[in-house]
Amino acid sequence: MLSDLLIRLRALFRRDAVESELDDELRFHFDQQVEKLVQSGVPPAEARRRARLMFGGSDQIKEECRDARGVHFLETLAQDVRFALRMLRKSPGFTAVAVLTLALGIGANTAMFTVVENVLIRPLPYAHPDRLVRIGPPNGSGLSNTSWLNYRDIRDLTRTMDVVGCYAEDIGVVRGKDGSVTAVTPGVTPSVFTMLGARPLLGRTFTEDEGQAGGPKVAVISEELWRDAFDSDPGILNRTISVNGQPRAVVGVMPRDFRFPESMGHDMQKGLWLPIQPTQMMQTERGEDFFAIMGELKPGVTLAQNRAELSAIAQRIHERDPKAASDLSLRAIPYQETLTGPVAPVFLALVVAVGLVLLIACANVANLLIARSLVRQQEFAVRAALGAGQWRLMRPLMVEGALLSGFGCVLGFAVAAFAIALVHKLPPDTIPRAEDIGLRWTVVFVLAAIATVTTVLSAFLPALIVSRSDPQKVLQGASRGVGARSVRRRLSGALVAGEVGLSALLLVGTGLLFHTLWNLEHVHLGFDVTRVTTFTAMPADASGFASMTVSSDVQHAPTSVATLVYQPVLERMRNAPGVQEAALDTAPPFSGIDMHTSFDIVGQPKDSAEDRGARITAVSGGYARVMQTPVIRGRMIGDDDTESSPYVIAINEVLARTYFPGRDPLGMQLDLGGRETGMIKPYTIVGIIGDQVDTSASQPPQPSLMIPYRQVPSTSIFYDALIKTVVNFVVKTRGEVAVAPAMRSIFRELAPDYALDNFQTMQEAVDQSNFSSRMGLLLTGAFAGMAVLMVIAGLYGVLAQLVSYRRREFGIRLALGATPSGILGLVLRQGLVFVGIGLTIGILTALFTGSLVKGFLYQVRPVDVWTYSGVVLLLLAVGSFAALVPARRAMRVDPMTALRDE
Amino acid sequence: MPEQRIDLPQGTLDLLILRTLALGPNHGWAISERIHQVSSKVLQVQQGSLYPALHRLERRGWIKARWGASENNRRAKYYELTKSGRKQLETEEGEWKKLAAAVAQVLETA
Repeated sequence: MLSDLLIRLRALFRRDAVESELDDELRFHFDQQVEKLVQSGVPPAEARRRARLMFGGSDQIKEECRDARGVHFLETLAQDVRFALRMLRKSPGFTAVAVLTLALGIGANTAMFTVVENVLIRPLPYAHPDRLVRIGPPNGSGLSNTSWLNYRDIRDLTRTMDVVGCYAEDIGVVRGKDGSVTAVTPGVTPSVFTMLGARPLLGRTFTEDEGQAGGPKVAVISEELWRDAFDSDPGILNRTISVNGQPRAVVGVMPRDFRFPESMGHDMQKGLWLPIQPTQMMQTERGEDFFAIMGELKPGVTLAQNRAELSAIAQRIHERDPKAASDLSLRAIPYQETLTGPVAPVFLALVVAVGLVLLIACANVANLLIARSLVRQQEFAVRAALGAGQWRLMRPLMVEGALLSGFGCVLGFAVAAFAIALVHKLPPDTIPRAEDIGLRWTVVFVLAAIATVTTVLSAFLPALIVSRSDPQKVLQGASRGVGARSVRRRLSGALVAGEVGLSALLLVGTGLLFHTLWNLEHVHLGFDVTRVTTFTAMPADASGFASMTVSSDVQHAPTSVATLVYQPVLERMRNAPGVQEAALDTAPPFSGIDMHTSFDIVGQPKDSAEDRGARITAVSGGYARVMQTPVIRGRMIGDDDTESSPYVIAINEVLARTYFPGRDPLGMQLDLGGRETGMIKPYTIVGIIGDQVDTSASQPPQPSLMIPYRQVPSTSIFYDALIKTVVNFVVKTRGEVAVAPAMRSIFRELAPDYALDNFQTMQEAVDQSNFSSRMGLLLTGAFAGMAVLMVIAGLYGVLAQLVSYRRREFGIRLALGATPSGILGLVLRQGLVFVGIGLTIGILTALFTGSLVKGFLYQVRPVDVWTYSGVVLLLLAVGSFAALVPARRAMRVDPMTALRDE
Repeated sequence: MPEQRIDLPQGTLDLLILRTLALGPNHGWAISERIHQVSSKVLQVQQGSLYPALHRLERRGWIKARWGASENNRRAKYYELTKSGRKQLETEEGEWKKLAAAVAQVLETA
């Protein structure tokens, strides 16, 4: 066996040596033969002649020896490859189109697979990623936050989880070498670091003591924060830094690739982690929902078991605390799913789209190969007649197809690399785990698999067809081409029709998305974005969202920051050059901040079955003017609403409709919690303003409350959350002025410890919220565009072949009196038949699958008349365009030349 | 001069070559001469069958080749039997004898 292999290899690699050896061996035999004859008395010349006769054809012998040595297969394969290369070089146009087509299809698929693999499939870089779950009350298909008490109870009662922890999203201000900077500062329990198996770059993570109430003030910072704000100080550990105005000792530095919690986005890389130290509020109130609970399942425990236990725990919590936890329900979702869940359907759709494009590409290449095989019919017929087996006939075509796939692969790899580079250029946080996306070894394997599939699809089928055709028929009547209906042409036609169908599907998708984007962009925002800029301001001693406190010491309530800082700042802002109007709003539209509160209507019975809840923001005077939001009734909050004037509140239309149906809300009073929340005085409704889009364009406006920023008592919970953490300013300028420098200098003068950030125009904020729709449209549109181009090429190719095949027939028709325009019509009709069949298939498929894409659409029905009619018209036009050139060539056939040609 | 040509089936030729080489290494010419002589000039192996057979046997590993000097000092390719070739020879010889005996029996009685 080994000798066999060695001989074959030697024959392959040392062909020349082997050949000359064979020569020598045979010549030796010949010489011996001659010598024998000479010795028996035959004259030398005669001896040579006879010997040559006896020898026979030495070439044939050599051929048989070579056969016996078993190299025949490989040698003929090498021959096929050389031949195929030559054929491809001879028709550069065809080769270029085919390779490009395949490259686009392969490249797009490879890139898509890479993204999907890295984002959806690859496990998170934590200790036991498959056992990590997030727990909370269900909210749609996701989870919402819950209270610290619920976390504690789950932690104490669970028997299916090894470790339980929780975290709270938060932002804060850090004092670094360049002054105060905003940073994300999530709170985590020490068990979270344990659960994740996180290994710090320097130092350590939190100890259990540091997670207790009243524990030491410490922090763990991120590598990037360490490098940027603290100059990679080697003595960072146990150095004290100022976070929210409070000194904290740095006990550890986390490496760059530790990004928990991922929900805080890209900024987490430059943030820091604080230990959750339960405050009085956290330990008594079950209604303060700021915490997300994480757990690590015990090995062997299934998700179903965990979920069952959580239902039981929820039940026990309800028994323990019936009033507060009346409708608590808890659910567990694998942690990775919470991150990637929202994008999974999008990616799935894209995978399908990109797969369709590859199919179209393969169909095109197959068509092109079939068309070429028509030209080589004679050659194949002769080969078949000479006895070549079916496999031997298929080989050249398959080799050509394999070569095209190979080139397509190489080019496709470049396309994929380019596409992935583009993905990295997207704004951060567009795609979860975007930093992880990169070309890996698995990609190469997938590439090879895709290439194999494309080869088989695009070369195998045509090769099969070609090798099956009856050589006799071909040799006898091929070139006459009088309307012969060969299987080949039907296959080509079917392929083109298929391409048209697939393109129709993609185009319908594009059209629907375009319509959706159009709707989103024209949603009635409820405000005017012209020349409005927003930015955030955070005090150096920001409280943070999660650390809410209520103080009952009303007598010695500290002066609100709103009065101390924001009011003078606003005055200066309004007088700054170029500024038309300025206002404060804790959460303008698209700010990403969404605070909710429950409330009661004074004078109406507290109906606990119907919780009244609304979005709540604090605003200054001038807000409605900046945003150009109409005041429907009464008046809007003004600058005269200070801490010493009557407490007032404004509501929006949705709230008026929801909670005051058929009544006049003006003059009614709202209770925002009384002593429990520190909002002791009730607020009188003084005005109703128009609805504004608040979180995203596709969501309807929520019921909203607006209180004057100076009427949030500094002893209340709302003070920390609304005023003392982060506020937004909205500024309307007179022209296209950049406000940042002026704003920064105002703050530097009046409030130097405040960190300003997130300067953006309202238009930018709106665009950002539509970004994913726009991206989806771009991608689908690109795919559809590619598909249409390929359809044009495919249709053109098929019709061109058709025309050249039937030249003689057209010549005869013209000679017999047909008009050129009649011939033109004939070819056009043929083309449109293909398009028509394809369109029908495509449209029907689109109709059936329409319900699948409902989730991506906004106020567009899946059976959208505009989209469908547009697609039909477009493809008919495309078909006619592609058919035009061959059709014109057909009608220009000179009968005499055509008849004479063979 | 043209001796009676009996067409040898391929398998039989292999057997004869192996048997000839069992006596010692030899080149193609000598093998064909020897078979011719020993068969009382009945069997004349043509080059067209001999060399492909030799190459095939070499590929199967039953004979191995090396270049050497011939009796008249010319460069010639010598073949010799390998161990597995010897085993193969035994097997094939046994099968041939069985076959020949069976055929002879049928011819005699039928």
